Amino acid sequence: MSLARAGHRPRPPRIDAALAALALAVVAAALLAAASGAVRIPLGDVLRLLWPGAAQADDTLWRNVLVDIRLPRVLLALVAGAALAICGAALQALFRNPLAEPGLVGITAGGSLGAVCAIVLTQGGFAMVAPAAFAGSLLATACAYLLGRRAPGMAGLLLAGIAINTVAGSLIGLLTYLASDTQLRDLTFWSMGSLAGANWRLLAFLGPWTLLWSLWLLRQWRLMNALLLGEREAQHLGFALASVRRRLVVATALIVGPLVAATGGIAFVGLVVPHLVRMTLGADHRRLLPASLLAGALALVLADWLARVAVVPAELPIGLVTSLVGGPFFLWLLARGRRF
Amino acid sequence: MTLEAENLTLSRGDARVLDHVSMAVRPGTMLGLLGANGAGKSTLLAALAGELAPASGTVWLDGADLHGVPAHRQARRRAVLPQKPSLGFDLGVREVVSMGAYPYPELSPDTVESLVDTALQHAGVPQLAQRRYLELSGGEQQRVQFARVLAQCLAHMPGDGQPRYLLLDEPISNLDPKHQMELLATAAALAHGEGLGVLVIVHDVNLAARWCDRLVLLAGGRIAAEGPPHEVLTPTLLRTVYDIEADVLPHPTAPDRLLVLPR
Repeated sequence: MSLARAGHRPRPPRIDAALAALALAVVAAALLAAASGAVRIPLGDVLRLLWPGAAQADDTLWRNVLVDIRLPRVLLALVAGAALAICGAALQALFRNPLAEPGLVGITAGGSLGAVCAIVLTQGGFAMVAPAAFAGSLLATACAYLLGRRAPGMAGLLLAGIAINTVAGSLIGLLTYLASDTQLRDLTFWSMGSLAGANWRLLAFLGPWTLLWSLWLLRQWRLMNALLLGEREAQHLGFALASVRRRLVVATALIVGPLVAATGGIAFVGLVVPHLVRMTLGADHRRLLPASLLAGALALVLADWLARVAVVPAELPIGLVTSLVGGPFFLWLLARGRRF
Repeated sequence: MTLEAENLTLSRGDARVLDHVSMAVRPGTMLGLLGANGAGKSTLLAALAGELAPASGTVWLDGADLHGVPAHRQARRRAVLPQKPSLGFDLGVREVVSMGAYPYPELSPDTVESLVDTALQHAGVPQLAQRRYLELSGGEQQRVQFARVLAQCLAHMPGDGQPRYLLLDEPISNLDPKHQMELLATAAALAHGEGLGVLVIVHDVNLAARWCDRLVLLAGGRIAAEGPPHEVLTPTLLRTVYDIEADVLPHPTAPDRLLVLPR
C-alpha cells in the first residue's frame, strides 16, 4: 500500500525536444524576417549589425532599417503571436471546446467597435483608435463576463459572449454605414490588422506586460488540465470554479485587449495554433501552453514575413495573411479527420 | 471524524430533492447509498462533495461547516468520482491519473509518478498506463477515472492523521461483472485498510449487500432506512422503496451476507 512499493521510473528529460525545436525555429524565423523586406539585409549581417559598435559607416542604412523598422515589427509579431495563441489555448480549456478563441468573450469585437467609434465619430482622430480599441475590448469582455456569471457552468459566459459579439457587430455595421469614404478605407485596414504601428515605445510596454501575464497563464496548467475533465471534476480537484473563470477571462482580456488596440484584428492565430499543437503534442497543458506560445510567435513572424515579401514593395495586411493561410490550412486539418 | 449531512434540505428548481436528510460517512466504513431513480442519491452526493449549497441544514467535514472550507482544502480531504466522466480531449492515461495529485502541488514529480503507479495497480489497470485515454472503451475509461480519484485519496502526506473520504457516484455502471466486483472490492479494501470513508451509489442491491458495511436507503428525498445490510434490505423496505416484491435469503457461500431475489 505504501507509495515506496511502486517501481521507480526514470524522470522525463527536463528539456523537451519539441519545445526546444520550436524555440530554435522561432529564432530562425525572426532572423529571416528581420533580414527580408523591401530593403534586403544579408542574413549574416543581421547579427553583426545588432552588435553594439560593430557597425561601420556604410552600414547606416541597413542599421536604421533594422533597428527602427524591422526589429520592432518582428518583436511585435513575436509578442502578438505568442499572446494570441496562449490565450486561445487558455480559453479552449476554459470552455472545454477546441473551437474557442479570444474573440469568443467579446475581446476582439469590443476592440473593433472601439476602434470604429474612434475612426467614424471623432474627426480625423487616428490617435484615439488604440485607446478606444483597448477600452472597447475590456468593456465588452466585462459585459460578457458579468452577464454570463449568473448561469451555472460556462454556458452563460459563452452565450453572453455570442450576444456581445452580435451587438458589437451590428453597431460596427451601423457605423460603417454612416462612415465617409476615407473613414471606410481606414476601417477596412484596421479590421485586417497590421504590425506597421510597431515601435520601441509600444514594445517597452507590451513586451513585459504580455510576458508577465503569459508566465502567469503558464503556471495554470494544472487548472486547465482539470477543466478538460469537466467543470465538476475541476471543482472536486480543488479549483473554485467562479474565481477560476474570472481570473482566466480577466487575464485573457488584459493580454489580448492591448494587442487588439496595437495591431487590429489578427484572425485565426488564437484558434488554429493551439489546435495544431494539441493535434501534434496532445492536450496536456504542461506542454500545450509553452508550445502554443512558441508556435504562435513562429506563426505570426512567418505571416508578417509573408505579408512583406509577397507583394514588394507594398505589403499585405497581416490579418489577411493569417486568414488566407490559416483558414484553408484549418479546413485541410479537419478534412483529414484527425481527433481534436 | 465524519463527513456528515445534518438536516439537509435541497431543492432543484421547484422540486424539493432532499428533505431533512441526516446521515454520515465514517472513516474505515464502506457506506452504500441505495434508492430508486430520482430518489435524490446523486444530489446528496453532490451536496456532500460541496457542489450544491443546501437550502437549509449543514454538511460537516470533521466538525467544520463544509461551506466555509475552500475548494483546495476540500480537495485534500475528499475525492469524487462523478457519474458520467466527460473528458473529450486527447490525454495519456498517466496524465489523467496524475491529476489526482493536483491538490498536492508540493509533491515531487517522482512521488507523483509512483503515486500514479500505485493508483493504477489498485484500480486494476496498470496495463493501460501507456495508452491514450480517448482510445479506451467506456469501461476502461471509467476504471482510469477510478484510478484518478484513488490517487487523490492516496496522495496524502504519510501520518498526517486526517481522515479522507471517497464519494463514488455509480462507479460500476459501465463495467462488466468481474470489474464491478473488483472495483467494489478495492473500495472496501481501502476503506478497511487505509481508513477511507467511502460512499458509493449502486443500483445492484446484491452487490451493495455483498460489499458495503452499512447502507442508506433513500426514498423521495428522505432517508427510508439506515443500518447494516440485514436491517435495511428487508422485503417490506424493498417494496416501499423500489416497489418490487423480493425474497431476502442468507448468502449461500458468504454466511454473514444476504441475497436478494426479486420475484
